[in-house]
Amino acid sequence: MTAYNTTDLYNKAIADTVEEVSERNCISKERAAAIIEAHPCTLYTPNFMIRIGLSILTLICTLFFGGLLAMMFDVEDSASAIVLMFMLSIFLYVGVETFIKNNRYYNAGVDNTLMLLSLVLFVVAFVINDYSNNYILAALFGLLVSGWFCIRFTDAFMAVLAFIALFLLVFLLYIKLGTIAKATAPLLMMIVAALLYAAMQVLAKKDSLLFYQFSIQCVSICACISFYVCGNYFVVKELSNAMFHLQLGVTDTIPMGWLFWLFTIIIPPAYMVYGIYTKRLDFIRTALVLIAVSVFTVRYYYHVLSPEMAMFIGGVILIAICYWLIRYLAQPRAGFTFEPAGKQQNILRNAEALIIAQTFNAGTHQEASGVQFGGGSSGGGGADGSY
Amino acid sequence: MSFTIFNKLFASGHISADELQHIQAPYPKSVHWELRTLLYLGIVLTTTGAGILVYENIDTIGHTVIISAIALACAACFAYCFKTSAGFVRGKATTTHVLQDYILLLGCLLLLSFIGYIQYQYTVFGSRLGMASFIPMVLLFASAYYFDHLGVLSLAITNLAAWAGIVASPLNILSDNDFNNVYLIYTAILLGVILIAMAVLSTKKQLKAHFAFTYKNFGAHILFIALLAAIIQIEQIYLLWFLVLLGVVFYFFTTAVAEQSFYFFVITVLYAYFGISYVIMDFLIAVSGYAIAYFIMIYFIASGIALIRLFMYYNKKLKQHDSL
Repeated sequence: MTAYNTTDLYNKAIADTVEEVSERNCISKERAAAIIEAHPCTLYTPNFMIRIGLSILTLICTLFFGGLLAMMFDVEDSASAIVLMFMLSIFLYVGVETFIKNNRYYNAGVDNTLMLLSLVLFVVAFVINDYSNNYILAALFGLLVSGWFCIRFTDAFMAVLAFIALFLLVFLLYIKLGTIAKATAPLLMMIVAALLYAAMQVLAKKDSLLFYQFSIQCVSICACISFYVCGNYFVVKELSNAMFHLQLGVTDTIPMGWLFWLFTIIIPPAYMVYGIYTKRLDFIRTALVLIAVSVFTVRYYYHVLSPEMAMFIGGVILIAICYWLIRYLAQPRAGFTFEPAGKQQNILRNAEALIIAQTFNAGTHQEASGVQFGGGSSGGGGADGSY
Repeated sequence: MSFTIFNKLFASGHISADELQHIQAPYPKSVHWELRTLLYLGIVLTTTGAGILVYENIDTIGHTVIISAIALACAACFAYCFKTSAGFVRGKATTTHVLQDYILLLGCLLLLSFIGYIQYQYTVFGSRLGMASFIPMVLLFASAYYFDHLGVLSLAITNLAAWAGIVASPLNILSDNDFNNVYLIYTAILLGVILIAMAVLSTKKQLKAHFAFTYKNFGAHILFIALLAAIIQIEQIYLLWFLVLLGVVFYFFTTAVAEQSFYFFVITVLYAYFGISYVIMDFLIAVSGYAIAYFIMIYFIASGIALIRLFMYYNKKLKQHDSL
């Protein structure tokens, strides 16, 4: 099924996992190097920065190539644009296959970009013209194409896109059934998310799907997020508002509103408890983000405190909790530790410094005319960092 | 993680039974960056909230309380840092603790709020606004060097830029600066050169050599963007600026290759590509003829492929390592 040589993929999986356990000092560096040496991998995966550069350049090349084709074939109406998009999409797909066959690109930037552009062109071609059920068709073909790319190229991003397409497809088909379907859509979608999660857990246990473990993990987390989003009060209310043209105000309620408030409040802490109990960091991280989403949801409908007061108090509480946890986990406890793991610490620290510079954006409030280097009488003004 | 791989490695004799047992044993999971992120978020929320509260409550009884509280909290943060810090060292401080790092950050941000407020309310630095941003900048640089803090250093650098009239935050550098202003372009070029010089000096003098990346990163982006703006804006002598750009590109390219830095290699090539493409487009449009659009398309396809080859060549040539 996969476009890659399975020995290559297997050896890559070995190299990745062996490096991971070597960092945990389960095996010596020499032993790890010897194992990786004994399992050579011929896949081409350049340095991370180079991959970003290659992605940008591939995007430029492909866009101008498309433009060149459009000019050569005199594309003027939407019908010929659609034909061109399909042709280009297929051409790009053949390109990915060829690059993988001849050059063994694996997450090289070039293959990822071509794959994504091929998918986007194919799907967008369905929604250029307005006709009945065009979004359903787009979702269906989006699912088929991204699903195939995921299987063929063992790509987790494509797996996530396939999940989104499938989710949308079920939703669009279900709400065609009528008013009752529309009213029960949130609950059905929650069930769909739960079923997909369960399916992923079955797949995760299969040894034959070793190369898809990362895809399965990503889709599992997407299913968890979707389960929450479909039960979130804000999403349910505002979406049904839009679908039924209800014109509800902020204080109006929806049928079974209490149930969705319950979901909004219960699900994120439940994920957190599950993550702590099973020592799964992906659940803990998801829960942290979703807790923030729930806080915003509650604040959207109930103004308990003024925003600045809420920020201040919330911030102080957060600092206190983290202060305590960092001290508490200085020694490994309850299966968790504050010790940094992995070898990317240096890069992460530099990235953090950039984020700090970004959040506390030092603005210049100077008059357009009086900029003077060296801070003259009207030099660049008030850098109120936290405002 | 799948244990299948290790069972197979054990079966093929690559790892011993002891090692297999060690691997399969449960181990503590690191929540280092999760907690750091949350702590950072807490600091962002607190200082932003406090900053707004101060201005909302101006002219009420509460504001003296709030501003005193900010001053006290700020003093407490710095007191904590002075107490726990081992003092200034030339190299990378090995004894700093994460909590100390963040308490220093909190202190610095509260200090910025405080200075901003007393300037706003009492104009203690007079109407010379330059002083109002100069003093926090100096304090930030001093804190960054004394307590060895990369985040505070980058705050100091963006404040230095703000003092010179330039927005240097990564995502605002393109949108918030008025590059139509030729004076701003010259200032930015000078600022970029100074920051790069600071990077070189940090390494040469071995004075906080690990600060070099942050200086160089800000310097490189500011200088490249300013030079591209100069090429686009200062039309009369744009070829001169183009030559300057090529010189800077040459410098960054050779140092990136020498220092094995993939990051600077990629950004240098991409900025150079933008500049060269602009000049070539300018030339093509000047001699504009019937097939001009075709030439442009073909130029980008061909140059894109050429650069892909270049990237792949240097990917092989530069050595993989754990820094940028």
